[in-house]
Amino acid sequence: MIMKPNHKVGIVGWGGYIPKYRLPVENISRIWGKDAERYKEGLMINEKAVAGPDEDTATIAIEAAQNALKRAQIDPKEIGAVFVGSESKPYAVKPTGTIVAEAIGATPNILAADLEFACKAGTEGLQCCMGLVSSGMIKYGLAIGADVAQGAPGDDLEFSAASGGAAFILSRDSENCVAAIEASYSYVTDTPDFWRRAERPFPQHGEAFTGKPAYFHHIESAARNLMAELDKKPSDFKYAVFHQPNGKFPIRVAKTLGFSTAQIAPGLLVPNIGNTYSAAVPLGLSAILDIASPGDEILVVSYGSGAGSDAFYIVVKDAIEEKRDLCLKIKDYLTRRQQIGYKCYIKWRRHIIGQPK
Amino acid sequence: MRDVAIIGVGLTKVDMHFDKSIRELFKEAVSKALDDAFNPDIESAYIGNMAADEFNNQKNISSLLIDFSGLNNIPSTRIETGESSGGSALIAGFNDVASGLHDFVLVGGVEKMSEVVSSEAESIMSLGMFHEYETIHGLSPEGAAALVMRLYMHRYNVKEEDIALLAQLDHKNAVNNPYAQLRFEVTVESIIKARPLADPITLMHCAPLGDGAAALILCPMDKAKKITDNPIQIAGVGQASDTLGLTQRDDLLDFKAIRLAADKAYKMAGIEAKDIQVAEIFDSYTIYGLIALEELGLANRGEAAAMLKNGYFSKDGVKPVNISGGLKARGHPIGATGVYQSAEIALMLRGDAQFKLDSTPEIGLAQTLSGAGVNSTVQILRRV
Amino acid sequence: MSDLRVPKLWREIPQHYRLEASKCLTCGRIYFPPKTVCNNCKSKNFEKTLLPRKGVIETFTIIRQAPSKYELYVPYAVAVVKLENGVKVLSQITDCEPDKLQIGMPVEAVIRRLYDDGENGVIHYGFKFRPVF
Repeated sequence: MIMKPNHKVGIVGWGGYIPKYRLPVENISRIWGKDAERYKEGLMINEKAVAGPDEDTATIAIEAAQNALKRAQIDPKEIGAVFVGSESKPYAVKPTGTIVAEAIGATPNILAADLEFACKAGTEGLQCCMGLVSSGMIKYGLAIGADVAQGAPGDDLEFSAASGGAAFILSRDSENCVAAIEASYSYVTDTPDFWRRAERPFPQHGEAFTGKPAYFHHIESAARNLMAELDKKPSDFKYAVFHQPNGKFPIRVAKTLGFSTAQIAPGLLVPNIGNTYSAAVPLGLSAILDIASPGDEILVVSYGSGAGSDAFYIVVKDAIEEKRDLCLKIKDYLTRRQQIGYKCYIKWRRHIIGQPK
Repeated sequence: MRDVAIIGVGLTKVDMHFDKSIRELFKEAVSKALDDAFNPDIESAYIGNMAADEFNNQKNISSLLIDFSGLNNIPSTRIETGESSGGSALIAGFNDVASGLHDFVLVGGVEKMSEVVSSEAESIMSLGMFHEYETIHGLSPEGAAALVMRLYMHRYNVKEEDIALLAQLDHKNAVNNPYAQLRFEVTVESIIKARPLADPITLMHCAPLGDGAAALILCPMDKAKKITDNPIQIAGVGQASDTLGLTQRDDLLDFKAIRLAADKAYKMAGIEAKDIQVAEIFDSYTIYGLIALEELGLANRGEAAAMLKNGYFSKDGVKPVNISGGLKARGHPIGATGVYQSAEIALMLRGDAQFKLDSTPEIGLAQTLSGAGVNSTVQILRRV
Repeated sequence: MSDLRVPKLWREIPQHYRLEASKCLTCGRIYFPPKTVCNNCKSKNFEKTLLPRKGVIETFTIIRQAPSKYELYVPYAVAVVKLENGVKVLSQITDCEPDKLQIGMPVEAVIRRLYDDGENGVIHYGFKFRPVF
């Protein structure tokens, strides 16, 4: 069912964060005796962004939120809710949202909650904030998608599971907004294509099962239903961003739905940073907002295993021009790059038996 | 205020004394000091010790040590001001005698570090820094010294190899000190090429870990003269503290605590820096030794390295420094170090064979320091 | 020896997360960590103030032998950072190439994991600085 707020809702600030370190596919494949070219072609991933040894989902979420605040130019005390969507919380029990809220100076009169839905928890925060600000329950809402995603050493996921985050501050639509979120659509079924059991360090996945019945079915359903409800067609959109667990899936789903490469290229970050899970679509949207012009229409569709998709219809507004340059952009973080080796990666992720934790 | 004299000195060799307990080590120093002072009845005791709690799992250390030294039931107090604990204990003992409260007072210092492995020792030493604002950032004590050293090198255009000269001097002097831990000479090259701990500080810029105990017997000068032919007067003492956090000072290179402690001690002794003939300075890291020479007024600011280079502080120089071998080579059993230094100066002023100088000096100075300028004591001793 | 001293670090969150300092209302001096009596003028009238998040490296070291809880990060840089208002803070420099650090280099504050009390303990977050980019 389409979700349209009674009062129009907009984005007043956005910001992303990508860690500095990159682990090239070759550095992983060499260790495991695999063919790098096959992975680079098959996944369309050249390297992945890796969190430094002192980074985690909370620190990543904080920098993304600080960037969003710089663009929103609001008093953090006016933020009424913070949602952190992630599948890699620093604590199993203890919220990440409180850490973020405290760091940006938004405590104590604020709702804080952590969301988890594999790779789509970030966009769920957007929907929660839409409802809260539209209803007038809060003035500003902060939605963050952030992850320090983990793949088991040697598993195919290790080539793609990456780190990053993006944040959006929402309010009722006003001149201060850089874009209006006109409508959203969620599509959910019980489809176990990827999971991690409680107290297990790494996720499991259903290989090919993650494709057709999972990723493609949900994204296509959410996107088609939203466009149908709004009477929109792919050519109406300047940009589109789809969840990107690898490079191939979003390109194929775009083609199936009738979107061109040009429409998805600005938001397709996965070849250079990997799959940032809950941050993947939020980062793609951030990269698009970094370059979008007033009047541009954007289709956003996330996907979370287990499974479901959230689709959004976003229209860019005039204020984007004056806010764009108020903080570091996605391309700044893409440019700031330091390559690391597999041994360094394994040490930082504390995977060496007996190493100091 | 009564004049106070040192009438007994007792030292143990600084070493890794795996076969001795802290009780035994301390008792050895006390026995020697008591014998040296013709065994007076001790009325109270002050013991410098930084971290028996952590190194030895023992609090209430003063009662334990006094009991095992055969000194029954006297008032005994452990004094802790970090690495300067020994100097602070001496000042406490001085105050006790000078005030007239007690006549015969034991001042001891002891640290038994070899109970723990070096990484644990590192963590224990780190407790001396500001926990929430320094230690939490992963700073180590040698890291703090490195911050000071880099800034010093930058501001005064001094090279690392010139700072290393102090370690070389220490090692050279320690060869003749039977109580020293590292009795061998080193080259400047071996110092700057040693294992790096916190750039630009290498292992050889740092005092070693070791165990040691030292003891002094204090009494009023009038009584001292009846007991011994060579009483050494504690002519001046001074102590000053500064911010625990390095960054809370206007200038990181301003070790005001040393300067203020020295000012007080000079004033009490009625002398100036130029009157000092021999000094034991606190070079837990070479850079702190250079800064101490400058804050004490023995060198101009930024010039200590140049003066080391031209031999001014060498054994045969104008003002011999660290005849004992200093913290680098005599060793640095933390809470004991300050007591060692004053004991060594006392022996030099007595013309003792083990610390013999070409001409026996009359006035000497000992200086302690905790952390990167956190607390300092200065003691001025005079032959009477 | 347990490092689990939660209240001790929890209490410092405003300083560690947001660089909250105190400013003497009488003489204007700023203290970090905050003080409630002024060493300069002895006043006890203070207000809360936030430190600037940018500064330059005044001096630094590369820690190569670390206290045991920090061994994962070796080698890492610790610096004295002089902030835009002249206040100095001690901090790690993160996301840097230690060999390229120099005195005078501009840096900016970020929030990172400061201290991790083993696998079971709390994670303490706080400011570090990184080279401006």
